[in-house]
Amino acid sequence: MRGSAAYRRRAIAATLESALERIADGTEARGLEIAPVLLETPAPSRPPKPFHGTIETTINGHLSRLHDASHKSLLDALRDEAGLTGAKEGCAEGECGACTVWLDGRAVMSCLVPAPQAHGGEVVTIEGLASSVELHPLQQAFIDNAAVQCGFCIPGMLMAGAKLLDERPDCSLDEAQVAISGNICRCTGYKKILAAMLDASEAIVERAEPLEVSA
Amino acid sequence: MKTVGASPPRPDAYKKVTGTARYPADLVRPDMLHAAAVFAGRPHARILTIDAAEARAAKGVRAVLTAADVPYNRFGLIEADQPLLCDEVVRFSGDRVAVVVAESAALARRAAALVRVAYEDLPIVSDPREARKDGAPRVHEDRPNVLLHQKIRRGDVEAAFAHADVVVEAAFTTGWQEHAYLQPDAGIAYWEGDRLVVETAGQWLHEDRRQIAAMFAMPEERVVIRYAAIGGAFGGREDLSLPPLVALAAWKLKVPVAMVWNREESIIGHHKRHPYFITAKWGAKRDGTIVAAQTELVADGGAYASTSAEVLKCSAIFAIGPYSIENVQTDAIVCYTNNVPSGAFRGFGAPQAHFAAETMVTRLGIALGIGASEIRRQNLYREGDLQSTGDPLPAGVSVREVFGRCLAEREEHMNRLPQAADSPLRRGIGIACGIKNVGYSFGFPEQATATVELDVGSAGPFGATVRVGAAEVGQGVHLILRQIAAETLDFALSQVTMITDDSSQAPNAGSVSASRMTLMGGRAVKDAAEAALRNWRAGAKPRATVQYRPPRTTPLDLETGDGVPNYCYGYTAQAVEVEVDVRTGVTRVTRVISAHDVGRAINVQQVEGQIEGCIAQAVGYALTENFVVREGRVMTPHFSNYLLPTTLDVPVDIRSVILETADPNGPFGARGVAEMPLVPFAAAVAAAIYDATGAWVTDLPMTPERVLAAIDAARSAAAPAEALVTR
Repeated sequence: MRGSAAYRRRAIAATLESALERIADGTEARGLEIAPVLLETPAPSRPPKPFHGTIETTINGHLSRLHDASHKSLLDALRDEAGLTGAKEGCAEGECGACTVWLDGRAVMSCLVPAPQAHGGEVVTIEGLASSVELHPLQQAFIDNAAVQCGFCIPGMLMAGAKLLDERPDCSLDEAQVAISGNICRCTGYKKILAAMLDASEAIVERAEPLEVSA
Repeated sequence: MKTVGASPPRPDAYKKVTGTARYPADLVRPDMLHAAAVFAGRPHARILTIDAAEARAAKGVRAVLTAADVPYNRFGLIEADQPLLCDEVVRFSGDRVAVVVAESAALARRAAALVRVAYEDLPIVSDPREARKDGAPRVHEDRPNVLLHQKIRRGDVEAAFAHADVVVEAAFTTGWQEHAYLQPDAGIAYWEGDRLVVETAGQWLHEDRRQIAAMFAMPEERVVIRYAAIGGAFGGREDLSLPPLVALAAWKLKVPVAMVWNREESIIGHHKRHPYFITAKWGAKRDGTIVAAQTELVADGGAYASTSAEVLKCSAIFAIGPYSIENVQTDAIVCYTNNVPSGAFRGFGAPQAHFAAETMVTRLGIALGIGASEIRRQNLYREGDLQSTGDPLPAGVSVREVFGRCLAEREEHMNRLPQAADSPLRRGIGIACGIKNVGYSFGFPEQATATVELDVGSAGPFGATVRVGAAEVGQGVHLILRQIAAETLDFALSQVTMITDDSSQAPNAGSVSASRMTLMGGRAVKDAAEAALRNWRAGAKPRATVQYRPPRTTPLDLETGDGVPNYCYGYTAQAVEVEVDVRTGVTRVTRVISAHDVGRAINVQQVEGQIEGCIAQAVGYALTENFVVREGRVMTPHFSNYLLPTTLDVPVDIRSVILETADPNGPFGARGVAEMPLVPFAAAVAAAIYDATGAWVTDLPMTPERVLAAIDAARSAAAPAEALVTR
């Protein structure tokens, strides 16, 4: 609701009115997901780890000690201290999603996360998305679908998208849109990004199905 | 044809999906220092004193640089009217007065806040309509506020209005638009022997080099511009913003220096799309012939010249859209103000002009009772038609075919969906057409140079190295140029090596702007490849450098508009469906058909990418991106208050329709496409909103509040809001 005070009053009244009508009709839940996209997958619970100024965290499978990061955002800690520049700063206020990484199984905007929150935890960045032998299916699908133009949003886009595919491999178009709704792309218009997500979903589901063995 | 017309994947994509592509803020050098800029923070003031003592004494600070440190303190793409660091006067809030260099970025920023500048505020002018008037405060003491007044005079509009059957008048405004390239301005600079190197992002290596070399009074060969991976540009990196500031620090201190702007600094510190005030009066005969168009466009150029004059000349020639009209009177005016400078942005003056022109055409069609399609069919440009400049259109006028295809696609794919009479959600469909030049206009020296060297073995050539200084800003041009080289030489893509991002290694191909690099750079690469082959066959060195120059253009006569404005145009037509919530004014674009003559699609997938991406920016321009400036101060310097379209705002149902009418000069017939979808889009959305609600919205962006106000006005008014005279 942006605009003058008079506009906001009117628009809020209209929105409220339609909400009340839906409640009166008993249709207020229509269109709401029973299982909304969360962009998180279960992570092993971790015991509290005493913090003495040095952040000890697992980044892309390797234990890292970040000595000069206790006052930084997780994004700055990753970029300046861990030397991982894949995650990008596009806005530093959680609007663009270019800094998206995984922290303890959850996709987070690392520009908004204090670095000490990663102490004793596990971080995965775009540099850790591919396996040692091949790209993540979503990375390959982005290449194949021409979903990459300038590429600056892509690390965040991939970390949000790949988390959705972990959460629900067989995702729908709507779910794909919700998953990347916090990630701004200024180049592609999103269509090819969404196509890549659905392609990757298909590839992952196919791979998971047992091969038919003929006698 | 093996490579041209196919869609091989982009070679740069692998690094971009693995996070290993290095953008300017990712670059690190040993013992690097960090710089931060001190911004004026006020729109117009005289600098009394700059006291940097406290900043110099702050922790980790190595230097505070001011205007006195810049040998030639002037720069600009067309006119050098902007100081790198202000010495006497600041003219907009994003002006820079000092650069602080320190051991870390945080220390540099902290110290920048300690630079004390004493100002005496001066009267400001923040509206171009005021800036035009006698007695308005001058933005530059040594020049008038009116930067350009371009007139076009063809026929006699007054006589034509007197004989017209229908005359429509309306007023429009359009807003600023922020490029919001996702990678904020950044760069590093350092010495390599006696050469000053600047690694950054830009749109034209050799122009950046020219301006930076001039500022440090160095021969151009001693300045090297290298482009890192570039995170978008859209015209926003055409003017120099950060690069000369970081260059100054390294030039002065003789050590590597990095500088990274945050989003707020980027938004305040670089130019925008021009906002316009437009009044239009158009007349037509009962048979549908448009007989006269009279338009005044007044644009806000902001504090410095940038490319304002060229943008306004483009608006002047596109004030009649792609229509053949006998009587034309156009006044395109741009003024200096104390607002953020305006300059190049995808579309370069065409979107503003088309918003008015295409709306006027639709209104005329409705007033005549023949509708939006029929009036276009009758008046669209034909091959051989004269432009309003008196010059025939360049060969290959395909707007009628493009429009026809768009209508056919609309019939097939954009059926009118049934809607309940009592639903507050109203759907509507609008159409619009567009024309936009490809390449530089109005006599600006237009050229592109490329070098091709063949690797030759006993069995003949087996590889090629292509040197062409063309910026990859995300649009895919490095792949396109490589495909053109491979096709010309009958090679696989892997046999072609590209050298593109270093001003000392690649020749000048001009800027990536005006949708020109596929045509211009592509033609230079093609011609150079053919020449290298010829040299090899003749037994000479298998290498050639070719400068391609397209057919010449000329400046426009300021009083009449007479001239040869352009050598190539792209043509476009769109159909757009919207859904308007008439209770709140919230408008969503639900389906888009976007038809374009691209001459030849070198890479279909990349052409689609340009169309889809441009439409997302056009959705923002039309609906969501409300850039607010009050008394010279930017009120929307963050993504949280400048709303970019997300995937929930951009329709998935975008149908790209690609026509291929070969351009006589383009490589394999290719024209450009990158800007075209932005040109008619806002007008098509406005027409769709009218179709849905009966209300015309005439201000961009069409925010929910404006849409709602227009619906109110349409409901309450017995007659339409504008004067509509039917004889």
